[in-house]
Amino acid sequence: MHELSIVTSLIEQVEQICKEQGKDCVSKIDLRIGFLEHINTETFLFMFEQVKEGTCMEQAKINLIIEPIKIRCRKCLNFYEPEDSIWICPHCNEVGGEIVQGTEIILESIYFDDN
Amino acid sequence: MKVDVVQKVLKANDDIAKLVRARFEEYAISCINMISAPGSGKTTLIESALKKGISGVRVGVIEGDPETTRDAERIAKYDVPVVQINTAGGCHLESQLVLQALDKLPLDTIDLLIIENVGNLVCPVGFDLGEKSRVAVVSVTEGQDKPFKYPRLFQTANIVVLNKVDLLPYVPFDVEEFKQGVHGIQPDVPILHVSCTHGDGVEQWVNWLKGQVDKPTNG
Repeated sequence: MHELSIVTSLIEQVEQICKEQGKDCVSKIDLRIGFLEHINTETFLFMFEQVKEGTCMEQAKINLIIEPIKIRCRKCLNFYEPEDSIWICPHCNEVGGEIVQGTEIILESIYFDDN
Repeated sequence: MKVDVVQKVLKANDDIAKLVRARFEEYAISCINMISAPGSGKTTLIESALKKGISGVRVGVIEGDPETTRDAERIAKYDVPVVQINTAGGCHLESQLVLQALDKLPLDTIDLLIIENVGNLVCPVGFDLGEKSRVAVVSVTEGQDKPFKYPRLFQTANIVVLNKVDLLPYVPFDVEEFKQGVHGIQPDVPILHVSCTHGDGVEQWVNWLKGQVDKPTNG
């Protein structure tokens, strides 16, 4: 249920940007969600439908881009996308590593209707 | 018209967490954030440490629960400052709630602030509370598959406490598989075996807590 907090935070951020841009409403946003954020996209979109009313995002479409986990091996420094929940480097078999992608939610872009 | 933004969505929480962290620095407080499923024994772990005593370290506690002040009442018996946050159904603590709770604590008399998060293995993980360290607690009755199912918590934990180990003879918990799961994500994170009922590992737990405090007081 952390989806509700994230949706609320997202709408507040978009409202702020609308104010800065002098716009009233948004037509679309691109949102990148890291796989490790454990966001249930159906819940996320359901929550969005519940709270968007009366905000600048009432008519907005959300383009969700789920980003896979990407690890940098701490031994051979190669990057890899782990295939299961034990992270083993396919290049050198070292376990674990530094997460370089998959742990953030990023508001990438906002689209406004041209009028 | 397209506007490129590239902004973290939980920026508001992160910004307030920075304020919380600044307060901790001002008062030389080390803060830990305990995360587990409901019923893993977070409160009992805090009680065990308070019972044993963390020499030279003055403790404060923030309890997070959807409802009731039961946990805060348990902690208050040890005569330490404690604040209960009720999230009214909310599934995790956020930095704003912690910032408000700090106003109710005597910060100049605290060296170690222990935050007990709402019992949940998913939602609390993405919300920085300004903590220095994160504790993941799993009890053996929950099964050894938790690190495989909830990797983010185990990836962000500074220590993993395997709790209720006195029950190991009675439950089918595979310790080796659990370790493999945790270390498959974070190879160097320590795993502490604890039984608050029998006292196993409580001393190591207390020592770890003591080690979180930068400047132990003399008194």
